[in-house]
Amino acid sequence: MTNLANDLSPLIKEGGKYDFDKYVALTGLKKSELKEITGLTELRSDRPLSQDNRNKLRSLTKILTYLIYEFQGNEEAVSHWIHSPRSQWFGDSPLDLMQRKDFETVENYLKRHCEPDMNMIKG
Amino acid sequence: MSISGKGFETRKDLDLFNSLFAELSQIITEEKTLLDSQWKNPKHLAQGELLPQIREQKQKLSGLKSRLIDLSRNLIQKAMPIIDNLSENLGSRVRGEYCRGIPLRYYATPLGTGNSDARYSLEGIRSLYLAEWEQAVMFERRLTGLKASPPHVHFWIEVKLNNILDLTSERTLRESGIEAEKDLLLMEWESIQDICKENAFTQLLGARVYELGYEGISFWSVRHPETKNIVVFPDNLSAGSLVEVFDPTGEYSNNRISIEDNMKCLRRDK
Repeated sequence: MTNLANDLSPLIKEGGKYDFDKYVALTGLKKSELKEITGLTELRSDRPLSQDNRNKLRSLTKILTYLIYEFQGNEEAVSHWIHSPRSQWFGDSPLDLMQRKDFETVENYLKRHCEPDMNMIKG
Repeated sequence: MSISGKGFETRKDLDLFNSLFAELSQIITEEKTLLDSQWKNPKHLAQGELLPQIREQKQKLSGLKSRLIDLSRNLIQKAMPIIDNLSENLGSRVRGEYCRGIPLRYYATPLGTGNSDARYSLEGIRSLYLAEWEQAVMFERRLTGLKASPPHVHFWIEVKLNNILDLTSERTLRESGIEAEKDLLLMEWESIQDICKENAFTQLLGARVYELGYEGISFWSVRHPETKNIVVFPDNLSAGSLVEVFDPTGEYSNNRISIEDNMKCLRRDK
């Protein structure tokens, strides 16, 4: 999962056939979770990725890339963070939000906390 | 001016919110324990033995979540008159050294500001957050809960501000009418923003404070109580106010924010 962005980006751009198992391996998610988040299924693996699938995969990749940086490549920690409920989100986990297609909230949260704006103290 | 007791006190809702939030936190702790045990035991993970319990916890959380969302919205609505009635004559001076933590890779620009939202700032307002103590800076970095995190560096910043809203002062709280509702300052702003999809009370208050021309806000840290944090609004700095990196070696002598520096930037931008 460490080189996720490098590995996944060409697959997202190609728009050709997709390999569901490869996505599962690259993202470290369970098959059922990846299905819910991206809308991809094993059955449609002979079809090219739709624009919608690509957008969702792109968002997922961005989120995982932030996490890999933050957790210094520790895949178990990344997976744990994704699955853990957060009190700030009234019990929702990042996975819950992504399953509701709310990638933006997870992404913004990580942007705020993984430093790009340099405001490390958020109160 | 005191505006408490005019019908928009929120004590009852706040108490209910806090009690539901405590219940939610307890369930989250239990769910995390279940998840941990699932992760640590491959047999549990493979056979999904703990799934029914986790599902049950999730159901409980879902019920609590809806109530917390409704309460949060009500609370903000009830407290809005405090923000609307905030006066511009409550300013205090602050002098002292504050700590700033930044990722090592940004070491050359320790006073770089962000435009993103935070506890007292809405997106688009330049803000700089500082803490009274180094420990507080570390507590604020709470994303991972891991001991390890990417390298960070702490700078000490000299602060001389002439017009801030001091929310750590009992007098300011009383005169602004915030005293009766001060627990609202401790609410999880990210819950309101991320889950309720609304601006938190503190964010709306910060935006109003900025609009009224204050140079910043002093407030108690939520993560490290007993520590004062400051958010500075660099665009509002007036003559004589200064935010500067403490550096006797002079290496960081250009790292400061003042009205003169703001003007220089404006001239450069033109």
